[in-house]
Amino acid sequence: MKISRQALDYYLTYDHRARSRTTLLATIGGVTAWVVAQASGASSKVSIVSCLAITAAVEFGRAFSYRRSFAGTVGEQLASTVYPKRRLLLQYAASSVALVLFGMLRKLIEPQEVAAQSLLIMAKKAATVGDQREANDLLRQASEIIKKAAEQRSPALPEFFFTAVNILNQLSGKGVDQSTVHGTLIQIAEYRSALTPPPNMRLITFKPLDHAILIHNGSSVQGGAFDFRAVTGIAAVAPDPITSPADLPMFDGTLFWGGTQTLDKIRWHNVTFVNTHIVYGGGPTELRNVRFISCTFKAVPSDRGRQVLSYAALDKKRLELQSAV
Amino acid sequence: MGLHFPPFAREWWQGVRPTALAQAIDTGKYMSYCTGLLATHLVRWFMNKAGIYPDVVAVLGWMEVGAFLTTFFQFFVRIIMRGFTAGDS
Repeated sequence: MKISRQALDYYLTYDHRARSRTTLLATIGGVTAWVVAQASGASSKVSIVSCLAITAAVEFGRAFSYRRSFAGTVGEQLASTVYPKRRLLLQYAASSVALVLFGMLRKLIEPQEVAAQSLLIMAKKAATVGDQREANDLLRQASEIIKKAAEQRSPALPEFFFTAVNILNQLSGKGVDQSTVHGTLIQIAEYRSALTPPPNMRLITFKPLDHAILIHNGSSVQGGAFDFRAVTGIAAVAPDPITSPADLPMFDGTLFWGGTQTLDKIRWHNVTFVNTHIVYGGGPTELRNVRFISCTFKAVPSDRGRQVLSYAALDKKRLELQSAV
Repeated sequence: MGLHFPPFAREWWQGVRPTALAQAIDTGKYMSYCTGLLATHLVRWFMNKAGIYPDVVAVLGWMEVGAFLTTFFQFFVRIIMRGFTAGDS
């Protein structure tokens, strides 16, 4: 037993090559276990346990099965110790400096959407363990970052929007402040909208009016590019009561520039809104290939409102919301 | 004019020197693995931006997380093992 302890001590103190080889083997084993667990759809807990179990098996297995002859004196043993080459030691030092510098610069170079996504994931974890206060705080921080990213039009991948909307949907039933969740979803929709480049078109400018267009049931407006910046109220209004979904008035291939527009009671096909304040009050609507460019949103804080905001945030192709009554 | 340490300090350093060196070498190794992870992270970020097939990027991401967990775990296992065997030989 004493020999074994002596061998372990020698392994940990003097045999740098053997430990280096163990690090490599354990890393290969641990990474393989993690990748296999993730690829087979295992939960995070199972993945972590399998990864650490393989690592521990290699690490302890090699340490405790280490054998060496200790016939020589301590001086002879020390003389036989192989130290890493100076070049390798310099590489270690350079790695440490690189990591410290990266840690210091990370806040400056980390994309805003990555920071926001990390906060959203942390908020989800906090909500899962029942810490709603922490989840709300993290959600507010994420919302602030997303707002800033939208203002700066900081580029983001579509995956960010999918992940963010997915997390917010999961947070809806976990006791988190729903107004904060709703506000964050609005920020995400506005962020996506801010990243879409506006088209270059000749516009028909409307004079200052309360409403620019009155559109009745069964009628439709085909094409047109309208500038509603001078219109003070809702740009296009559908005054008729709701009869059937197919009878709702329709805009097809139209471009709205500026102003305020409610989505309720109108079918929107291939419509583009640019710099428009979009309002959704929870009524029936149909959105097909609708694009929102640099728009702001206000939606009723309900499941229907969330669907409209998700449509804008995820740049979906189709959404149909029937009459609630 | 060099630094002169009192005899007890020199004695103490001679005692802990091999363990301290081994720990420093292990820390350096861990740091070099971390730098590799950092490089992988940056490559993954650029692959993501370049629109490379998401599944390929995801596998690289898994490898990154796995390597991070493994090396971090090993680093602490070594420290704990050294703590248990200290003064045995």
